[in-house]
Amino acid sequence: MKRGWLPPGLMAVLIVALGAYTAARQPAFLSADNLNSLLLEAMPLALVSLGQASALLVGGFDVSVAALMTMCVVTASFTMTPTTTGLALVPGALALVGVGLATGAFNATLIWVFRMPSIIATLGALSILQGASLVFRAYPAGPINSAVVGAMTAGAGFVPVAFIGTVVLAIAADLWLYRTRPGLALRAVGLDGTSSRRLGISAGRAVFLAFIVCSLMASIGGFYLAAEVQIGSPIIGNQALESIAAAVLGGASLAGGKGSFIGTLLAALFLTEVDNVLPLFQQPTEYADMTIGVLILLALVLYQAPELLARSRAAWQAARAKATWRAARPAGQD
Amino acid sequence: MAKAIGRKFTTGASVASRFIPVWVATGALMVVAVVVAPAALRSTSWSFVLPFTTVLAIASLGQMLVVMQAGIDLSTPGVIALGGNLIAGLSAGSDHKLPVAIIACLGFGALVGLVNGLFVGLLRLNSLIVTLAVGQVVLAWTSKYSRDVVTNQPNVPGALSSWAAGRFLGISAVFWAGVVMTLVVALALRYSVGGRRFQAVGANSTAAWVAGLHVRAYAVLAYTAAGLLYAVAAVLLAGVSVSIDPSFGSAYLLAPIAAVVIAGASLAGGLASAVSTWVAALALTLLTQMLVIMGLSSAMQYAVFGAAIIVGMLLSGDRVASLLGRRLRPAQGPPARQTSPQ
Repeated sequence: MKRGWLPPGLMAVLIVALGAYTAARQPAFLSADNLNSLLLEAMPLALVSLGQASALLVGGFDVSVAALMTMCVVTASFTMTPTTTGLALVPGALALVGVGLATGAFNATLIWVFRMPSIIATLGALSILQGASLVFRAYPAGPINSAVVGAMTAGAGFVPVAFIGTVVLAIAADLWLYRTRPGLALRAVGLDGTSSRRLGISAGRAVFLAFIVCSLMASIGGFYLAAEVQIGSPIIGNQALESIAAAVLGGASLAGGKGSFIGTLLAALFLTEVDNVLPLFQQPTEYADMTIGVLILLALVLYQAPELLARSRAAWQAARAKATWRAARPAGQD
Repeated sequence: MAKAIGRKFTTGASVASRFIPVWVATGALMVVAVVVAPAALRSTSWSFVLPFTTVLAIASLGQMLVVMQAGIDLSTPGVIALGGNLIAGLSAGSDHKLPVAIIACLGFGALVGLVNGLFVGLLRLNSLIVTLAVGQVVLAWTSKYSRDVVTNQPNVPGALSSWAAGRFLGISAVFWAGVVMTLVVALALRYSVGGRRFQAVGANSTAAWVAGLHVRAYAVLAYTAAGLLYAVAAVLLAGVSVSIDPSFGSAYLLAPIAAVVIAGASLAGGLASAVSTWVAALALTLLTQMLVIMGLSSAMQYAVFGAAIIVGMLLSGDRVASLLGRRLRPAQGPPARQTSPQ
């Protein structure tokens, strides 16, 4: 558990370091307006990454999240139109959550009941959701209720209230994961499904929980994507791979059983910060992708450093033992 | 004793039977095609589809080598985009610079694969996230190169595109090139010592290590060979598509993975069949072509494609049988596995 603090710590240091460097060169970075827009920009990715982290905890991953978020935006353009007001918005919002729950249950059924690899099951769901979004909106159309958008993006000072809520959620989720029995069960299923089943943990329940939470968080992320694009657009973003990257940078292991929701949130914030900062320096956006790619590799190596060191030390000792054995051998014998 | 032999027989049979459903599914798909969209099976349609089938099949072969070593490669679209852009950019559309461009394309493909292989094989990092990150770096560099250089002159040299449009024995030259590549991969895996060892490492890396094989070297080899195969796919695709657009290669992220899995390979590593992979690629392109000919909107194409992948997976392997078996077993008494001491 001691090393569990490395990923969130590294992410926090990187966020502050990049922020300080940028603020020194471009004072506009620290303006309340820019920080507010940075945090709002981070919301969809932050929410979906928290969901992705839960899927990674049970050793699966979900590539359908970006298509699901787009489906939610398209749904919102029908159920949360500017003409719907008051209580009529509640079923409209519930429709988005319903889409998320249905997708999560669908994915989990394929993965757990039919034993499909999660990448193939969620790939199928991705394609179906993409088709469904295009059926309803072949081109961007249908504005989304601006009162809802305003309420969702409301802030205390420059910090959006929703962002504070997400931070609280991430902390609560980490406490749940590391301090309660169901959290321990979830990690156990991810670490070793067979052993945990033999110990009487319902692995199926854990897998269902993880994938439904993943889709649910993606659909809540879909609310904030809707608030960002403000129109029913069927274009699918890059959140599937970005959310996996954020979860891994935040300390999740793709083999399952390891991860931190706080670290994931910080990583999502950092990825958005890189995207936000480059235009201030008039650099092409490709540099953001390159930087993020290189950083992922560096972070992976760093997180694995103790194992890598131990392994190379063992190899070195084996080589030395062999050499001394050779040297000690009387000459001429073979 | 008899029980042990019986069990051995069933495991042997189940390994072979993993590669059968894809043939059945493709046959069924052809029957459906004859009924609903006979135009999909006409030779005009074939001559259009086969080059794309070949490109997908070669990319899938690369993916298959990685999957055999229990990995997964998400750098495919990055390598294909890089290769296509290098061919247009380095040759500047002239035929006499084409060999240099092709060599650069293949070399950089293998280099990207080698980087993946070193991170995954040597440092033992997770393949999905490594290839995702490497692919992202390659794709980002490519899109900058494409904007700076290739947009001014996006045409592929005439020699390559006219070769790709040419025919041999009435069938696209690209297809024959793909057949040769597939034969090379399949024969090398089956009949060369290195290929046999490669399969052994994939089937059980611990046993292979105990037997004295350099397990990690084979993992590095898998990614390098995969990168090379993606570059070959890029050369062929560049020839087929005549000019390079910014989205070149973007369709090859998940389709090769789908083809490999539908062909019966397990993502946990182990044996895979090059011929089955080819058939799966054919089935996927035939399905797409059929949906286009049936006049479905692109929206419905996506939906049907997704459903087909899921149904294909449900039918492939021994999923249905094992699920039924689990329901039926209590009636037949406890399964043999639990009574035998192990």
